[in-house]
Amino acid sequence: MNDKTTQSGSTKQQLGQSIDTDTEFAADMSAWMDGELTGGRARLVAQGMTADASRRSQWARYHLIGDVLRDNLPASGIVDIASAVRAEIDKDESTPRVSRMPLAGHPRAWGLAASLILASVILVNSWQRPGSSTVDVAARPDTTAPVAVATAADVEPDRADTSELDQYLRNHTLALVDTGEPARMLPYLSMAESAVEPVSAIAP
Amino acid sequence: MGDAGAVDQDLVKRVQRGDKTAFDLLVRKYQHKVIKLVSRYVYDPSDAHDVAQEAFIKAYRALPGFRGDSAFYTWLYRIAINTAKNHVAARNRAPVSSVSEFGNEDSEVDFSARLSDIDTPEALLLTDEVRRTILSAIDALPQDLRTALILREIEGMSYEEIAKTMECPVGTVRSRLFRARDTIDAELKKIEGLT
Repeated sequence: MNDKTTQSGSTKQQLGQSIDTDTEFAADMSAWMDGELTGGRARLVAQGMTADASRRSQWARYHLIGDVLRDNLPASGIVDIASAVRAEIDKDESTPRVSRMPLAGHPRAWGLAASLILASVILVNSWQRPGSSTVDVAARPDTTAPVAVATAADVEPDRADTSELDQYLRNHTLALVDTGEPARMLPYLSMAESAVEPVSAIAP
Repeated sequence: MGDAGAVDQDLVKRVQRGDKTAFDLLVRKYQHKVIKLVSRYVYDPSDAHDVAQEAFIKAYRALPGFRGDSAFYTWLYRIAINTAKNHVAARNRAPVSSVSEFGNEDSEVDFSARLSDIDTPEALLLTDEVRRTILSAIDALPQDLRTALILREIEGMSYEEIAKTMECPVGTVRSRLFRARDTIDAELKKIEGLT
């Protein structure tokens, strides 16, 4: 210690004081507020302050020292809004705890979940289309989820396509019949015939 | 080590687990900084205090959604700035002499209550006394304690950096900082009216 310490009675008293529990606690708190205390002792400091209002006041004064040194005090001076804030949050019916659900409070996770649901819907819809109707739900007894049956509306666009093709082939067939030419379109016609309806009725 | 943000993170986790007192520690730590920040937008001191209080309450209610991607104080300052901007916008939209300011009994009560403890000569005197006490206590500190405190509080150095600068063990830095704070605190406790 230098001369300055011995000049001040109160300073000497403070520095020469024996280490008791309060002093040890305050030393740990000083290190903790600087982020230099971790583990079990840090937990003890946090718990100690939760339990003791005078230690919370000491915490506030330690921070006040830093605020004055950094010129962080507002022009209106020192205030304590902590009690007013506490009174207000005590009115809240419940403390805003983080939900135990893993996704709660994580917007990105909710977004991912929504994307997965959307992807599932699209996938199920694609399975239900006529082109991929080979998926035989009945053949999979382990399938428990309800599977929507494709409606007429779902397949209507495909039917319209085949009707158009059929009409085209009919016209050609009729033209061939009229001119007596060999039916070069017949292979295509037979394909369309198997897909849509018999064309034998219009064949000669 | 040396990351004061880790303390905030610890306190935030405690609040998220239901410890309201941990939030009280965060308010006591940041209240002056938040009021000073808000005062850049809201010039009236009473309003600035109200806005700061509202910002803390909003932060408390939003804490379950705070994931710690950014530092707590960055997140808190963002809330404070938005609250201040909203206050200014609402004030600009309101009629100049609104009934709610003076014509309503409840508002009169609030207004007089605020006058009693904010921006009064007593409050300013207290602030001056606190400032003088702290600065003179720092002046009276032994050189090694004062240097450690200044390197930590003004320069924001970690204990390890201070130890290198002062050529002493980290444990000595820890001890010097505590003794410096404790000595100043002993003087602060003598001031009447300071909690």
